[in-house]
Amino acid sequence: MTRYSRAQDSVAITGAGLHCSFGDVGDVWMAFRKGLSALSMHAIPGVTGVAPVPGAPIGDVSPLEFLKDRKLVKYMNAATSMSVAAAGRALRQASLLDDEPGLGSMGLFVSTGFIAFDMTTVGEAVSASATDDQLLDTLRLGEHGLRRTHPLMPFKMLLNMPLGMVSIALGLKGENFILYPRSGQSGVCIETAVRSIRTGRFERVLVGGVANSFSMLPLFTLAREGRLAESVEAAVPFVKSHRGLAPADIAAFLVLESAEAARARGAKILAVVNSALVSFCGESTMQERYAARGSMWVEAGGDRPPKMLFSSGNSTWMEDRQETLQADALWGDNAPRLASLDGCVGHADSASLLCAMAVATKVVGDHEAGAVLMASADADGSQSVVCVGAPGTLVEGAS
Amino acid sequence: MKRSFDLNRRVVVTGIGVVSPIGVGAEEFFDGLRTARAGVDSIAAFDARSFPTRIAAEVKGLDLASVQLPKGYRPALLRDKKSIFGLIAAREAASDAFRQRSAAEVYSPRRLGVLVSSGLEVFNLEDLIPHMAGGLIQGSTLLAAVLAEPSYSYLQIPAHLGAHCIACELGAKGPFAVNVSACAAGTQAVGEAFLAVRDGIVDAVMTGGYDSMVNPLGLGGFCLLHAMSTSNGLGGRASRPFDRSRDGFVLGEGAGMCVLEEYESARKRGARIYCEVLGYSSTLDAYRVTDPDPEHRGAITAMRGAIERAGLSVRDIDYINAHGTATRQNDPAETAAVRAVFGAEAGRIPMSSTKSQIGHLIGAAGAVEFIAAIFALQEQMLPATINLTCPDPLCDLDYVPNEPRPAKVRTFMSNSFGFGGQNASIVAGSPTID
Repeated sequence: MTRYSRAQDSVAITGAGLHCSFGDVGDVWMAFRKGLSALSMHAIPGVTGVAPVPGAPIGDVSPLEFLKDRKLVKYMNAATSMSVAAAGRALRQASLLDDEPGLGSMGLFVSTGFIAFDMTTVGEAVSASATDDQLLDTLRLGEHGLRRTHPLMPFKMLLNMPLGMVSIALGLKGENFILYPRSGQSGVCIETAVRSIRTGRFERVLVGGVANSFSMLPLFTLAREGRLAESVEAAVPFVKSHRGLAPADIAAFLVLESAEAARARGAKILAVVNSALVSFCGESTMQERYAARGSMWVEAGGDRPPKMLFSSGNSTWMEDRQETLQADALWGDNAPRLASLDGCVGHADSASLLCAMAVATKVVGDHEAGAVLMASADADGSQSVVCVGAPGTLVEGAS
Repeated sequence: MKRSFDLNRRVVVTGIGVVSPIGVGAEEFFDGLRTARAGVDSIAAFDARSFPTRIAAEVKGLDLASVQLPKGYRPALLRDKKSIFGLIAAREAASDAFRQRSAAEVYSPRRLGVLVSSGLEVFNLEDLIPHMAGGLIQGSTLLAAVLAEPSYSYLQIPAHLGAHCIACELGAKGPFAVNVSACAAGTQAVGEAFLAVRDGIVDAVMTGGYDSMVNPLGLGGFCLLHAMSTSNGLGGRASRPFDRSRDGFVLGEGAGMCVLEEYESARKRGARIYCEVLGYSSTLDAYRVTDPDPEHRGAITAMRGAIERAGLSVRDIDYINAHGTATRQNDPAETAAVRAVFGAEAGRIPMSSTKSQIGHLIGAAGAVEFIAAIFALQEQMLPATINLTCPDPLCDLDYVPNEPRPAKVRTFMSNSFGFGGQNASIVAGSPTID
């Protein structure tokens, strides 16, 4: 596990931006407090003959607000559009949107979800290439299929385009990578970002996660894994009827920077990242996974029980219960409130942890005492735990 | 600022594994480099006769069905050869590093990471056909077919499946990451693995990359970008970086994996040390989707950053493994960027493109090319840029034309400048360097 000195190596969150069904961070926080849900039943885009499934699709996304060059739109798909919108909001809140030199040295770490192919385009190419006995004729694909394919299709299929587009649209030029495809990767983005600030690799970084989860391929993957909810009610976490996840389209971006650098430029500190941990438990049992999570909570959060614990990725009541049992075993009567945004905005694997962190900046802001833990697990066995504290927990003058 | 990290931890490569178009296994790959073997030929994997590009650098002589595969994922892996490439290379690297022991016996599983790179998911177009009617996808039948095959073997095979299998086989319980930064992914994976060991969050990492886009969707997609060579009649001579007649890159496939360890641990257990990783840097062009920055600022900054973080100067670099794709734009741009970084030293430092032999492995390129640079260090021999008969006047450096060449190599740099404007540069050298 990663170990940090909490007193000395402070990492601040100075900007948070979301793009999801409810809107931005404040909208989600308000909805969460009121117990609202963005989930409803929707047809799966691009396919016929399948019953509606619960989820929170985003519909059309317009990132024009943050595009200096509007011609970029033709290269963008839903994931890249959401990413630019959420990243722009985070940078604006951090007062960095027009800071060209600052953006030039700023890191950019992104996690992206399973690709959402434009099935209309692919379907047309495939139809043009099929033989009478329903085989793929690659001769026809090369001759006719390619001609029916929009020349800009590759830009909408490359997995690194969310990062590339955020960089091109907003001017970020620093250290970077993009990971794929589930929530564990967003944990690695956050852990690497925090560590990189503490080792002096850079002063500030934009960390983001995006998933166009309400589309055919990611939905079918969830169904294949037996993790797709059949109704909105079944997608509500921490109740006995919990069975499955409701996919959502979400992009969540945060500006992390050294507290020292934030203070030096007079940035408002929304919250402090105390710790970020990642692990992989590929072939463990459910009990082993949640035991490992419990260890990570303590490692990340220290001795005091956190004020609140956001969880994402549990797809069944059994998993919810394991998590609750862990919390009870660790903290007894002082166990924190267990919550999940999965029932509020839906689940978007590679964006959900960051979405919870963004909302956590509101939680710690409203409540001075206590930290907020975020935990997520994915179907591959990766687990991530992040501990966020109130700005007031920063020791004055400490770096 | 008081730091919590010991940034003096040294990081070394103790195991390597390769699956490449010029050889399966590190020794065969090295032999391919020694003999300037060309890996490009007409595509054999499927009938590509009607595609604008009909050549690729495919892995040859590997019977995928005979590879021992994790039972639950076997059907999926057999339809996604890149994951099998990755598994084979990782097994070789692990065996090379840990010999008769497993990685999890040498290191605590929580101190073992897997940070690798890959490319686009496999999407089996033929699986869609039975479910198309009037140009529309019949979701009910398609979903039923997907659910009937629970092992990810139908329609879409996630690109990280290979990495998942590698991590499970190793028994690694530390950080797990799959980098998909396109052409820069492999170099980034190795670079981030280096930092993870240096920063002390792990003691050993399996890193590298695996990729194959030699399939109808991958080939078709790159054909649409008009970035690939259409010199189909040239076969093994088609990939010709820095040559005046070059007309684009040639797709390749394969995998390159390395075990990175903390130096003292490796030394104490008597591990073979191939090289020490010294510095890494990545940047973004933030320019255009379709074109690299004409002033090459991102590439220049990445190279300078890697050298500076290695604690070296330009005079210390003995060899550069180029990105060298053979596109019209990249090669002169890369040459200019190297000149900007190295100044007067640029003329002294040999720079070769392994892509001339193995094609462009996209998500695995940086990893395999890093191992090609290790070859230079180990054998004191520079891999060649083959097919370089008439250099572009704008490309006027020493590209080690056509034949590998003996040379004194103590340090090397390996560069990857990717689609979307991602640049990555890594510096490594003999661990005897002070």
